[in-house]
Amino acid sequence: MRVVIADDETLVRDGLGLLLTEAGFTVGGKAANPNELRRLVDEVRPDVAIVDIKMPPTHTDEGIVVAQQIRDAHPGVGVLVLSHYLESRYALRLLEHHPGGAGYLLKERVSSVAVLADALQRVADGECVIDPTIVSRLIARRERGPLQELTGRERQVLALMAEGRSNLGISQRLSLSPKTVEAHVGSILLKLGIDGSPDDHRRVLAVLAFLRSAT
Amino acid sequence: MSLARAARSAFWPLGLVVGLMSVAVGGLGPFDAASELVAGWSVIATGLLFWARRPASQAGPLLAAAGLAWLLVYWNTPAIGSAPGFAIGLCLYGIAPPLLAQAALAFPSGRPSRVEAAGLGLAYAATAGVLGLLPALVYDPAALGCSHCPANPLLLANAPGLYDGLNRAGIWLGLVWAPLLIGLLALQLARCTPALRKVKAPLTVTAIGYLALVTWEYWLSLDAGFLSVRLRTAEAVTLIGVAAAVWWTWIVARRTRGEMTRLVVELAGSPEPGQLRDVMAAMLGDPALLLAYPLPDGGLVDAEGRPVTVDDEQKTATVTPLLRDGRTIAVLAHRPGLFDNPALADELVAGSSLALENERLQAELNARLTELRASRARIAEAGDAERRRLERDLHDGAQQHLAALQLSVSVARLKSDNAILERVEEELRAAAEELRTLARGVFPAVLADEGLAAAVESLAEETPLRIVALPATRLSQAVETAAYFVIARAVPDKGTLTVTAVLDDDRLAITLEGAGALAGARDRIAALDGQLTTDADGLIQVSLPCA
Repeated sequence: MRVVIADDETLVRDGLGLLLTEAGFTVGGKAANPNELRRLVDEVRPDVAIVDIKMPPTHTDEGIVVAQQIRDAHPGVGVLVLSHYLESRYALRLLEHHPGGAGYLLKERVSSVAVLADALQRVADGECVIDPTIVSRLIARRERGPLQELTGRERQVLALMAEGRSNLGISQRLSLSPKTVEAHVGSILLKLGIDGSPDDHRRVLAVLAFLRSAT
Repeated sequence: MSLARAARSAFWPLGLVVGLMSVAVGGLGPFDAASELVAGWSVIATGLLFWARRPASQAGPLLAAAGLAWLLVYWNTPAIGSAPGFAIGLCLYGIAPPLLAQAALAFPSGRPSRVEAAGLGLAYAATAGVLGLLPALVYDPAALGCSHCPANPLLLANAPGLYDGLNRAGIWLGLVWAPLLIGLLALQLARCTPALRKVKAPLTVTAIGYLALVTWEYWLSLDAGFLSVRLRTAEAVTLIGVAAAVWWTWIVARRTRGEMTRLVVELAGSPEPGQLRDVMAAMLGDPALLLAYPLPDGGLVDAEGRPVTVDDEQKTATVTPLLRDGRTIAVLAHRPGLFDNPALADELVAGSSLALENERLQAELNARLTELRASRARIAEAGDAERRRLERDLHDGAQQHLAALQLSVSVARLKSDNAILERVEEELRAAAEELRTLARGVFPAVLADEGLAAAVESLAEETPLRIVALPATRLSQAVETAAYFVIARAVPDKGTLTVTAVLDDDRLAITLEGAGALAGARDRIAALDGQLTTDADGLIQVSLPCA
C-alpha cells in the first residue's frame, strides 16, 4: 500500500516514514505543509495520505481542511488525520462531507504499528475510522442515560459501529457470525431510535451524533 | 501700578475743575453747560472705570484723556484768566477727537496698526500743532487790543497773518484726518471677528458719529477761519453715547455671567456629565463647542472621562484655556474669535468655576476608572494569550518530541522486540496522554477553533456536566474564554453541573446549578464588566456584556 505523510515536524515525519517502511508500506513522499501535500497527492496518487491536524500557517485545524480538500479532489485517496486533540468535534467535522475513506486517530497511536496498519487498511478500503478513545469517552458519558437499555454485547457492537467498523469488521473482531452482528445492530438502532441507514458511513455519523448530543 | 492709581485719583478732581472752569469761561447757558459737563464727565468717569478694570488696555486712559480734552475747548479764550491755563487751552482745545478715535481703536484691547498710527499722528499734528502750538507762538491777544487778556507765555512774535494762515490750514487738515479716522474705525470694525465686532460695535459706531459731527464742524469753520462750536450740543450727545456704549458692554458681560451663574446654580444639584458644555455652548452661541479637562498626565478628557484631542478635531477651532488662580482647570475648543473679548473667558470662569471644578474632578475620576478597567481587561487578555501560547508550545515542542520518540521505539520493536521496549512504549503512551490532558486544561484548542459551545460540549465528554443550552454563535475571544473557564472551574468534585448559557440581547447570561468552588471567577468576570451573583440555593448567575 502506498502512503504519503504530511507533518511539519521533521522528526515525526521521518520517524513515521521509517516505521511504515519497516512495516511494509510504500512511502510515496513526505510534505511539511498543506500546499506540498496537495501537490504530492496530485502527483503520487497514494492509497492513503497521513495528515497531522496542526500544520502551517496557523497551526490549528489545517489538517482537517486539507483532508476535506483531498477527499473532494480525489475520492479514491483515503485520508488519516493524526491529532493531538481528543475532540469528537474535529472527528465529526472530518467525516461530515465524506464519511468514507477518512480516519481520525490520536497521534499517540503511532506507538502501535498494528493499530496504525489496521487504520490505514480500513481507510484505504473506504471505511471510516474513529479513535477508540473518543468513542469510549462518548459511550462512558451516556452509559447512565439511554445506553442502559443495551446489553453488554450490544454496547460492544455500538462502540465498534462508532469507531467506523462495518458489520463484517465487527463480526471478525467479536468472533460472531455476520448474521448475529446484523441482529445486534438492528436491535441497537431500534432501542436508541436511530435511523438504520443502509450506508455504513452514514450509520457512523448517526451513531456519533447520537452519542455526542448531550441532554 | 501705584502710579497709574495715583494718576486715576488725580483725574477725578482734575476733570471736575477743568469742566467747571470751561463752562464758566465759555459763558454757557444752563442747558449748554449741563450738556457740556455731562458729556465730558461721563466719558472721563467711564474711561477711569475702564482703566481700573483693565489696566493693561490703552482704551481707559485714552477715554479719560478724551473726556478731559473735550472740557478744554473754551480754555483758549482769554477769559480763562491765568497764563498757564491759557497756554494749555491754546494748544489742546482741539485734541479731543483724535484722543477719542484712538480710544475707540484701542477698545477693548490692542494697539493701533501702522496705518492707524499714521492717521492718528496726522490728527494729533493737525490739532495740537497746526491748530494749537504753532498759531499760539504767533498770537498776541494784547496786540489785538485785548487789555484784560492774560499774557500768552508761548508768544514768540506777533504775526496775525501767519496766525490766520495756520488756523485755516489746520481747519483744512481737519477735513482730511477726521474722515480718515472714520474710515479707519469702520475698516477695523469690518475686519474683526464676529465676536469681537459684537463687543466693539457700540463704541465704534458712536465714535464714528462723533467724528462725523467733528468733520461737519470743520466744514462749517472754513469761512470763519477758526474752529467754531456750532455743533457742540450734538457732539455732546454722541459723547454721552460713547460712554453709554462702554457701559453697555459691561452690562452684556454681566448679564452673560448672571445667566451662567443662574444656569450653573440650576445644574448645581447633580449635573449630568456634559450638561455644563451644553449650557456653555448655548450661552456662547457655539453649538460645536468642546469642553475638555486636563489630566495630571497631560491628556485631555471630556466630561465622561473619555480621551479627546482638541488640536486635530477641526483646524477651524481655537483653543482657549480657562484659568483659575493661574491654573488651567478646563480647555475650550471653539470657533475662532469667540474669546476676542478676553473678559468673556474670565466671566465664564467666574460664573462657573465651581461647576467646572466639580465636573473636572468627575471627569478625572471617570478617566482613571476607565483606565483601570481597561488595564484589568488587558491583564486578563494577556493571561489568556499566555495560556494559548503555552498550549501551543506544549503541542509543538513536548508532544511532537514524544511522538517522534514513540515512533523510534516502534521501529526498534519491529526490529527486535523485548519486554523493556514494551515497557518504554507503555510509559511513553501514558506520558503522551497526560501531556494531552495537561495541554487541554491549559487551553482547549477547540475553544479557539470552534467556540464556546463546542468547547463546553467537549468538556461534557469528560466531566459530569449537563448542558441545557449553549449559544450557537461565536462571541469575542475574551468573552468565550472567560465563560469557558468559569464553567470549567465550576465543575464540582461530586455531582453534576448543569449549564444554561443563552445570549440575551448583547449579554451572555450563564446559569450554573450545582457548581463547586469558583476561585478567581468573580474577578475574571468583573474584568470584562460582567457580574457574577450567587443566590441562597447556590445558583450562580453570570452576565457578560459581549457587544
